[in-house]
Amino acid sequence: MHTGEDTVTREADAGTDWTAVATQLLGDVDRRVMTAVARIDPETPLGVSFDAR
Amino acid sequence: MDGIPDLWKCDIAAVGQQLADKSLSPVELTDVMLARIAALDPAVQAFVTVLDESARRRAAAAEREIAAGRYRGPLHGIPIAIKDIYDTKDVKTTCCSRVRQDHVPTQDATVVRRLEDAGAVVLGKVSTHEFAFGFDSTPTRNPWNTEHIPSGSSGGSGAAIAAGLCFAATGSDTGGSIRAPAAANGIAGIKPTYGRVSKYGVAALSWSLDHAGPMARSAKDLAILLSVMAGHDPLDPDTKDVAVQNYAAALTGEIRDVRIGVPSNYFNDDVTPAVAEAFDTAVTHLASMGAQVMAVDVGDLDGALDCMLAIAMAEAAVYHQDSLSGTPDLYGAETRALLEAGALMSASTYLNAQRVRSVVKVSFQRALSGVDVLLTPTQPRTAMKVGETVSRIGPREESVFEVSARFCAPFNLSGLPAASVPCGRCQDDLPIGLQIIGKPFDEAMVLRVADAFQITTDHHRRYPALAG
Repeated sequence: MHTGEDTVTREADAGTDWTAVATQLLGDVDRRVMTAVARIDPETPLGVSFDAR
Repeated sequence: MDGIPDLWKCDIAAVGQQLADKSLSPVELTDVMLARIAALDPAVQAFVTVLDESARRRAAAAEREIAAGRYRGPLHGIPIAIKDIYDTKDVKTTCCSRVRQDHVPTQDATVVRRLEDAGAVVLGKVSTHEFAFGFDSTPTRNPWNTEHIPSGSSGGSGAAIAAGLCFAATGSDTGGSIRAPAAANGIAGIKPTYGRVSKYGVAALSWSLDHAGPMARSAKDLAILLSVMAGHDPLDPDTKDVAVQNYAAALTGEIRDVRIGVPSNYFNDDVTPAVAEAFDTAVTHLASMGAQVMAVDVGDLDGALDCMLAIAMAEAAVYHQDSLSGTPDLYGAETRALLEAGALMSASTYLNAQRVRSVVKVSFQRALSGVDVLLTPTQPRTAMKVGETVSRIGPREESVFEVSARFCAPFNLSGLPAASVPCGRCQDDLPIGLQIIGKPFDEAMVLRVADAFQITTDHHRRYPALAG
């Protein structure tokens, strides 16, 4: 059995700079979503239903 | 454990029959599984909380009911585990995070209630990547090789089933978190259609991408579990009032009239040779059973993974905004960084990701218009080593998150039902998964194909050496 404490300990031990990883990821995702949206029909709607029922 | 050493290898259908005809006692069965947890879980670390007292109490109640002729059905007396993001009344639900290390819900998640009403015996809570936001599920280990991760985020569920510590478990899937650990641990799992299974009482990662579903050893068992878990829930506005199919009746073993589409793009990219070979062999096998196999175009999916990430990161940041601002130090470093990055996601990126998602959805509707199911590998590779942060397949370098979600995330965006069943292994004996995708609310067809594959192959009848 374990607790959430182990997760935190393992990450610290791994020495990964998660802030740098997440910042890079944020930039990459933003850029790639822009690339993806550039390939679809510019008139594509949001696609989320706002059903009033 | 000594008297019935191989009981844990059985699937629910087989064990349930013994419980129903009273040749096996639910108390005896529960004791076997609790003894296995005590003996094996120190190496696997799948369980966060073991509920030995309440499990024995529920098993004794099941025994009395069955003896009195009040058999509830195929889950009556079956020991299962619950992913630790599902609320369990009076039992800690930590999401494997210090943020909720003392959180004790006052009621059960709808799915937990339904499973217990069907007579299932909850052995305990199993681990998840913190708040289900990742794929390594540390510190849980893969029973096939404890130097490898069990994948995630439902890694505790996958590892516990593979090690024979329970017969089934609940999972949740936002970008592959049921299917990836199913593949990594050599078991079966299904992410049902969005809206098929209630998420009430399940901690959210991303409201519009989250799916709750079952994990077990076989498609037959998934059918039994899903029959109980599925259905409209007035407490969950995302569930749809669509009739629940008779999943067990759909498992005919016959697929001669089934049309199978194999995507001609995206899902062939950058997979390991072992995965490619196992997938091709599985497709050939299904064709030899009489299924019509044809290539299909699934459209442009190059941005799918990033759109899933944009949506998940932004929605997760909103779900966590109060506790992230109040107690940021209680989050693990990885989760905190992802949530803080999500809070910085621009509205235009989030909305554009939703627009691309609507195109992806239409592309899959077209791809499925001429076939009954699609087949893909579940994962491009087998489970990564503990501590490994970069996956390399040929020239492609990816994070654990990217390689784990690449083939699964498109079906979180589309909301289509998708299952994974084992279809082979790589040279170092780690399992490989076959992903089967169906039309909306047609889980019966997905399970029919999965079951037909399993009753003519033995990949799901292999067990890790650790399990004994």
